[in-house]
Amino acid sequence: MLTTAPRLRIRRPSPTTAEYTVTTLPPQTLPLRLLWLLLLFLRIFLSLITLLVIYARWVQERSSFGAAPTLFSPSSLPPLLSLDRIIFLLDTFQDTPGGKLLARIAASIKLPVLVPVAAAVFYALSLRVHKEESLLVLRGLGVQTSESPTTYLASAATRFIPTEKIQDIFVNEAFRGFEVRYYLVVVVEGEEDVVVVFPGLLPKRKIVETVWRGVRECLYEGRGEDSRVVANEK
Amino acid sequence: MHPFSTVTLGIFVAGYITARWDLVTRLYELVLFAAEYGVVLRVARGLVVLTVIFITIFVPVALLARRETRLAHNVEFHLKSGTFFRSGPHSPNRIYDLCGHSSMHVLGVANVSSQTEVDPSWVCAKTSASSQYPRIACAKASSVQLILYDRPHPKGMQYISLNPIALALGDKGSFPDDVTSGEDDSEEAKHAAANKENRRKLVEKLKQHSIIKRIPSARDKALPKIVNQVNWSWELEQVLQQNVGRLGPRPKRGLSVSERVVESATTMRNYVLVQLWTLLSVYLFPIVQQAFILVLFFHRVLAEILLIILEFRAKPGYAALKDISATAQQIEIRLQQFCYWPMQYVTLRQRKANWASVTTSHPDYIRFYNSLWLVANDVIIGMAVGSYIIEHKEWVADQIRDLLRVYTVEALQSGISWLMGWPAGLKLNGELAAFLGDLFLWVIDYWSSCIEALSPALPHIIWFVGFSSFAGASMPIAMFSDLLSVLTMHIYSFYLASARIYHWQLTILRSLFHLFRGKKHNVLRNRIDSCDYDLDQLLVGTILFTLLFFLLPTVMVFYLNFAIARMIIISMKAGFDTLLSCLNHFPLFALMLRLKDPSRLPGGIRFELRDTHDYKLSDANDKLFNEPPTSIIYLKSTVQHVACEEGDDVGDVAGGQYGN
Amino acid sequence: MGRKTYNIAMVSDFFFPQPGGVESHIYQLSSKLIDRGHKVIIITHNYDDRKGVRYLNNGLKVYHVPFLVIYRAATFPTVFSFFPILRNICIREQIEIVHGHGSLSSLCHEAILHARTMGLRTVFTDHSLFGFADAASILTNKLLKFILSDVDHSICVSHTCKENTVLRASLDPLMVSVIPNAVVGENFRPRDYPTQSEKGEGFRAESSPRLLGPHDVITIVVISRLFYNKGTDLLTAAIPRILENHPNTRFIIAGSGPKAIDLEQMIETNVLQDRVEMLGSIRHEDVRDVMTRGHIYLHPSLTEAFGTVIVEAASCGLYVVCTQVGGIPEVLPSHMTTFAKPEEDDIVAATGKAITAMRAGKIRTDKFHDEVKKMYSWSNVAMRTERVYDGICGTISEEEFYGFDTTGYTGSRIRDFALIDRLKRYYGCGIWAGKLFCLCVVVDYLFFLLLEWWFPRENIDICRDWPRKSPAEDTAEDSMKAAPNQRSTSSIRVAKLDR
Repeated sequence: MLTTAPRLRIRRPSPTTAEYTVTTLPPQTLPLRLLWLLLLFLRIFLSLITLLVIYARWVQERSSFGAAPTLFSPSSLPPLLSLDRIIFLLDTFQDTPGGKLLARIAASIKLPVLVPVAAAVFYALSLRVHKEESLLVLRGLGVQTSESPTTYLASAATRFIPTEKIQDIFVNEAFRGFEVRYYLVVVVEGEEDVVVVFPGLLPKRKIVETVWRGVRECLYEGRGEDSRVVANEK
Repeated sequence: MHPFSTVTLGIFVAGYITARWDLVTRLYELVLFAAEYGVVLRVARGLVVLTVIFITIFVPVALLARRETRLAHNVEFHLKSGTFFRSGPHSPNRIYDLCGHSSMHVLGVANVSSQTEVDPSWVCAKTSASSQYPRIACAKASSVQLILYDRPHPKGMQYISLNPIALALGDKGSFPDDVTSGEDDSEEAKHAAANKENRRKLVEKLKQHSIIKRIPSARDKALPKIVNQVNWSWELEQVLQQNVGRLGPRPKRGLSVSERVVESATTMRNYVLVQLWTLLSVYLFPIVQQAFILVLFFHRVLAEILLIILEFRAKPGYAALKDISATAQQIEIRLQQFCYWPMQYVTLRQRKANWASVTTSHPDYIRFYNSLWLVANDVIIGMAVGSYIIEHKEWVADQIRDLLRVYTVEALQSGISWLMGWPAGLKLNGELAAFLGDLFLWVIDYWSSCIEALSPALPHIIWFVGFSSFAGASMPIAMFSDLLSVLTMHIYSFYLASARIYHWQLTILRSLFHLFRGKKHNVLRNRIDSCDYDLDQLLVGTILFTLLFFLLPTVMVFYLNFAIARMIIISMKAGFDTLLSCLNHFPLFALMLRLKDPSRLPGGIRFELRDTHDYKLSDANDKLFNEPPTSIIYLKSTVQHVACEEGDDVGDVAGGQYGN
Repeated sequence: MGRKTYNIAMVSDFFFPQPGGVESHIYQLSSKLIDRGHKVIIITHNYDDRKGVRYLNNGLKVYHVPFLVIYRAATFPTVFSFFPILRNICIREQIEIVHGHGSLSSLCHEAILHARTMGLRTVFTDHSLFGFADAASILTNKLLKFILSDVDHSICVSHTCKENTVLRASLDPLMVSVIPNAVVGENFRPRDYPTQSEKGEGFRAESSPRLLGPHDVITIVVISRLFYNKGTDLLTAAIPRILENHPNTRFIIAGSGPKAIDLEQMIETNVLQDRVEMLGSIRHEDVRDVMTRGHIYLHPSLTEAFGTVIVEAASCGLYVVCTQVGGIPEVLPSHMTTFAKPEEDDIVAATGKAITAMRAGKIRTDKFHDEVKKMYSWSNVAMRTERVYDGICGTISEEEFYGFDTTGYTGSRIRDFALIDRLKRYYGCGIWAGKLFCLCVVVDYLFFLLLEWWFPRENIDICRDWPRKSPAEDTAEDSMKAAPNQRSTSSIRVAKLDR
């Protein structure tokens, strides 16, 4: 429900520049937005709980080592927006029933289990729901592929190929898992490996063909030499 | 005007006045009223103020605007003749080479009110407070790509580049080819070479599939130059800002008295300074310089001699000192660094003589300072380690002695006795096991007595190791590594002996197995031939085969025992080596740069297409500025991902090129 | 009216770049079928780094499916692992008929099983002969029985092969057709044979046969893969004796295999380096050049269903000495061949006879080429295969296709796709095997349903067809040159996606 089959979005502000984005993000509707919001809250809530569990465990470990916990008297609240205030809030939370429950959970899990599990939970919570891959074509400069990262923490991986280095762009077929898929490929001069466009999503033939035509038009059309371009890879 | 018509007009006016006399009187009254209440004066004042404002503000602006276009032509002229660079820090020729033009040109004008005098090929830019991006129009262009970028700051050594910055030394790529052509023709290397060849052929084949070979246009080839221009832009702006006064005619003005006073005072001070400087530079500086060069020279000579000793091979193919000992290798690395630094420093000095935007030497800079940092770090850590070792040398020596006794003598002895008595229920050949075990035990006994004899000297050795660590923490590590190999010499020799026996046995078994199958190994052709054996040959071979086959487990168990011991020692040495290479080659400086200023480590460029929705809406009512379809693109530099990698080259920062 | 055209998938483990009879059969047949307006794709497994999708001459599309190879280019027999890919290919290429080749190819067997499950028509071509006695043969025969009990029609390359297949798989003989292999005559011209253009110029004098003097060297050519079943051991034993008996003879041996070392050793022990030349493995387009260097072709094979290579040899103008096994006696008329029993002595004797006959000038080898050309043509093979397709798809009626049955069998020979009918057919395969086969088929069917749910049909791209040729009329004699050379495989290189 949160994702769709890969669909194509074209942005083309001028004839010489075009961006083809293949995304699994469905069109934004109100229910979907609400769902997103819900998901966001759920993520924040879960990560908070994980953090609190780790904190509870840390407090336990510290006290077992004999370090005296810093105690604040309720009369002298530390100033707002300071580290002490946060610690104070955390400590007061520890005394609530919820905090005690979390402390019991934290105490019952072994440390070698707790730390990797917490790390895995954080990783899982930072995973992106949808994928997005794009191809930016700039006449005279080159093409740039980009891939959305798997988590929200990393930035998009891009690869820019200057026009000079582009030997060819074509559509090809290959085995992928139990399927034969069409894919768009850029052959880079002087490199052993070809660059696959939309490598993660591998959209359907129609999209790939649209992008292929668009890229060739955007890169080369109107330069005079392409009047005899045939659909050579078909 | 014809007199007749004048008369006619006069008659008409007179007639009209007489006919409307009341209107005339009203007007007269109005004038009288106005004169009484000062209306005229106020109107006149207003007019005067308006005129003054018009003359002082609008006329100059209009004039300026008209001159602006002429100004552009003027700028073009000055650019061509290079006026702006006369007082520039460096000659512009070098940078022109990089940027691919012989001089600078005017591309267009910004914020002009009228387009009448603008050359059609020029670009008109218009900025407005409401929009983030300037608007571009050009009479000749059908569409516009507007690429915005943040100017990299060349004084801070920021720059953008098409390829990721190469922090490893460049000759690494060709290195494996030379090695494989030599004696190291292992199966693996051959396989890799064949794979490589296959891939190359595939790439060649792929070329044949391109139906149209597109010759890149001049514009396509210009990208590296554009990148250089972007890199230069900050410095260029500085130069132009400094020299903008040279534009147009300048009135010559005499200096005022106070300025004259200041000027003469400055001249006086400058004179004194210059005199002092010449004194220094003529008498003192050459002496210091000579002395310094001499010191450097002797240092270099010494280092070279040491290097020759370290790399001396009795015969080609024999091991040199540096191959055997980790300490020698460490000394060699340091010596090579010392020899290399002055040259590197001189090269880096030359960087100052050019525009800061010339980015070719930036990797060298990073490499140089990285090796300096590493050595400094090494020495600091070494001092701490060294003082600790020297203070606790007795304790350390005791520890080492205990370790040696427990692990290299007693553990080995108990292991061998275990093997002699049918280990883990494995029924070995008792006689052979007893023979081998007794042999090894006897050698261990002898060795342990040797170690005992040596043990009083151990604290002194430890003290020496500790002392050496003032030359860097890598020294004691290398020495401990060497110490380990010397003190476990007996394990190495056991390993060699057992491996040799085991190998013999395997070889014999293999050839006897061929005899079994009626085949033989043809040495000349290196293949397996079939062969007819006599009956007695077959009989003896079979008996021998059975015999050796049943003895194999016993030999194998001993071999495995020593091989495992050897493996443990090798892995310990590998641990030391890893520590050493961390100390010698860790890309500390590059990592720090990555934190401090990522744009000093460019990993290529990337573009971002900006949304143009609001932009399109805002200019819908602006008819004057009919602009072509425009795409706004933002140019950014991607960041190099620094990865640690062990390298053998001296003073190089091993930074993998894993940039995207 | 237009003849009906089909989308056909040829499935076999054996295809180029590996040389061999089955391989060239598939290629030539596909090529000619494309000429006749059909769409043909070939599905095979990967060869070294050759995996992915390639195009050959004439728009022939080849899928090299990445698979595990075990022995002599045959893939590991996994019953169901091939199904997902096969289904994907069949849907995207809109396949109607699956045509499997080679009874040793597990890929082919799997494809036929799955194609039946998917409701496609299937044809099987058998290229080899098998015994009935040893364990391996029994297993293969059982497997063959399993597969062929539900196949729509089978094709064999020779009558011997047909008998063998019918016996092994207990088939209805009427459901097995015999369509022989053929050779491309243009590719196997004798030395000094005029090309077509020269021939058209006018009358050419009938050349007299080349007479060999008593001291002229007679060259004997052997081109075969050096495996046990190709009779390499016989060859190893016979060569020294032949060379001893006939002084002015020499051997050229092309091909490679595990028995090559034995041959080499024989050469070295008998010091025959100057009289026996070993060329190693040669490319298929070089076969003619090697053959024309000789006078006699020796074929010592122990089992052979058809033996395309002896037709090629005869077409090159070589006198053929071969063992009398399998389908070989059907292949060539008796004046082109000397037969021998598959024994060392007999081969030596037969070769001696052939050498004597050659020296005597009794054999008009120069006429062989034209005769062979008249006998074998791929267009004819394609036409006959097409009739099989017509028959199983119902384009021509059952009576017309199968003719009158003399045995009194009245049931229909059209194999319908109902699961229960298929199970009935499989159940009859044996007491235990029948049940096992039924289990396999049921699992296969369930697997099919799972796949339909997991990879829905509508999510699979339908791929574009290569522009089809207008179907040629049956009488049209097409003289297409379609050399199966390696260079033609320079198709679009498919980079591996899963890096």
